[in-house]
Amino acid sequence: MSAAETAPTTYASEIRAVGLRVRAGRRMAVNELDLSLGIGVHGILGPNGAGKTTLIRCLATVLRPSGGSVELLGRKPGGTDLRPIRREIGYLPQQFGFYSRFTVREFVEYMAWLKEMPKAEIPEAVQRAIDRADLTSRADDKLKTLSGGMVRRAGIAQALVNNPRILLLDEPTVGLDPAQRMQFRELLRSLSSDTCVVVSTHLVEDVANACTDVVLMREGRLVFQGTPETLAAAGSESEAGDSPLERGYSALLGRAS
Amino acid sequence: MKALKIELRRSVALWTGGLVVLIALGMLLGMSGPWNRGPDGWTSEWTSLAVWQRFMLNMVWPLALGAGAWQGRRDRRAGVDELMSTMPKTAFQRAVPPVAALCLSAVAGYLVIFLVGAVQVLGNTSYFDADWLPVTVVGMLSLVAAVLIGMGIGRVLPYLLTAPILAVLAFAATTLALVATPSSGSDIEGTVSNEFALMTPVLKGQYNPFLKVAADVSAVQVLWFLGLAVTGFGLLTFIGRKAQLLALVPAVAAGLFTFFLLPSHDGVYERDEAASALVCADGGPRVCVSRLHEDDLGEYVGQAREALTKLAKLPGGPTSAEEARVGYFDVDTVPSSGGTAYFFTDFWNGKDIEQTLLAGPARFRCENGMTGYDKSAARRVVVASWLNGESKPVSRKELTPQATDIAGKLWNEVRALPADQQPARVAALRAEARDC
Repeated sequence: MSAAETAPTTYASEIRAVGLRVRAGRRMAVNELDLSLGIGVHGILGPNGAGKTTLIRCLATVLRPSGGSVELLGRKPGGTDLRPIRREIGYLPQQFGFYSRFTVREFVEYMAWLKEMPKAEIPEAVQRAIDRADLTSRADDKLKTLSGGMVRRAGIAQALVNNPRILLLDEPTVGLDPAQRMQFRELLRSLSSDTCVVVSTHLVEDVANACTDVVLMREGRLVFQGTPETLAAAGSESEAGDSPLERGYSALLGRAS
Repeated sequence: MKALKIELRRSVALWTGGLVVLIALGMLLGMSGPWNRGPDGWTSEWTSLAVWQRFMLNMVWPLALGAGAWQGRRDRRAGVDELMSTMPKTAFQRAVPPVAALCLSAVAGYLVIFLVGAVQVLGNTSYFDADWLPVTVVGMLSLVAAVLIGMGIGRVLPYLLTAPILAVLAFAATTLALVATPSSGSDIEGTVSNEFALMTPVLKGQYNPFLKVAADVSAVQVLWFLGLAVTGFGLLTFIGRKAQLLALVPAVAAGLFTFFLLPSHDGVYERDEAASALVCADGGPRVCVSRLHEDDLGEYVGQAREALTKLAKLPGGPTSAEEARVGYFDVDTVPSSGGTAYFFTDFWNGKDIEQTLLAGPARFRCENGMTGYDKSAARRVVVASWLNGESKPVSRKELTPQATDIAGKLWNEVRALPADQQPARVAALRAEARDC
């Protein structure tokens, strides 16, 4: 356990955005977003084009805000200040690329090195991440031999390897079969006590079963933030949807338009 | 270190190093060429080893460049650009393992070839100087530059065809450098300038072990390849088009500098005074060889002195014997009369030292073709046969019918003279033996 991990936090929430504006190409994909995310699992929901991926890319320090501000772990990412923040982030991009000739273990090890983990901690951290992503039996197979779902799990393993305080997962359940999805939700629940997990998804059931908090976005703006129960309560029987959450989702998006 | 190990295992690095060794050693050991039968064979001495290794860069350098370009494209091909851009390690640090793996591999391949040659050089000569060292160092640096510029270009132009096109262009450039410079004697000589040729890493063998690569040429090449390497690393690690344009500056600057600093005439090689200094045998008559071939002096003294004894029959004949320290193509510059007789120790001319001493070296080039060769060969046979006390012209090499004819006539003419006039006639024949 490092000094940084035991030091008391000086910020109220791991992620704080105020009036955040982020461009995706020419479009302002995130527009005047105010958001505060602490420890727990936050499911970001919204229709296609709502700005979920753009928000996550901005939080992952891929994109710079073009207006407003964002604070990660109490710091504004920018300039030389980026490195300490990046060490605390785990990120699974929507389009997860990988070196196909590497084995799972080699790839996760390589990422641990890139994340500047102390050398002595790497082997153990790599094994733990592979175990948590349920790839133990395939750890020494080359990535190019893995199925789509396994590659996605390798992506989750690399995101987890540095025990990030902020874990950003963009569509992590794509390609996972139902059993793997359940396992993944289990993993999220185990992280919810000490990590700020941000999961972008368009599957409402992922949110219902694993998230402590739901963020609903539409056209780059925050529509709703609250517990899954509150989201469910927002809907009524007349709304479109097969479950209370889906009806709540429809109701809130309908009201926002 | 862990990252480097993974790169060595999983990137094209080891393949590249292996191919470097396979191609170059395959050529040097498995194929017959000037590198294993010239007077400066690749294992005959240190400079020759260094120069023939540079010659082999003709194929090896494009390979390193292509491998670099392939490797440089990897992040784009794998689609990891976005993930990588979120890493705490900077682009500069991230580039180190793949660059190091490929450079180490290519340079190690070059070293393996060097070691295979060096073991044989050690067995072939005890002559040692350090003039070859810059030549080898430039060779290694050129491989590092090829890897880096290849990786840089591969990243900036991440297309499937980038690596093969680069490799083919580089092969064309190194080949032109070998065969198309002014006075290269090929059909396309003069297509490229000497400066252009020296901006590629290849060097040609010179059929002359008494030359060394001019130190200032190596120094300028170091500057050029360093410029290329720095630009390559810049292209690989700088983010944004403007920064990448900036990365071109070192290569462009170094390129301009070197183009003006490199010799425009044939100034790559200069005489190796240390290697061609004379070492003489004890006692008389005086017999000397170059320091380069000092090991073989004992082998030549007996034959040389025997020839000198025979030559003493001629008025004004030579009284000492020296190794002719010239290249294969310069044989005709060796004087054929005077107080010193010359011989060769190399593969081409060194077969028959006594014959060379008695009659002078064989004519290398005659403007008037076979007529000239026949005349020269006939005179040499007559001179040598007379000095050896033969009863008719005897040639160890088969003569053409024309030459045999001329030799017969000359022999009869000499033999028809009174015995006391024959030596003067033979001395005259010897002096003009190599006229065409």
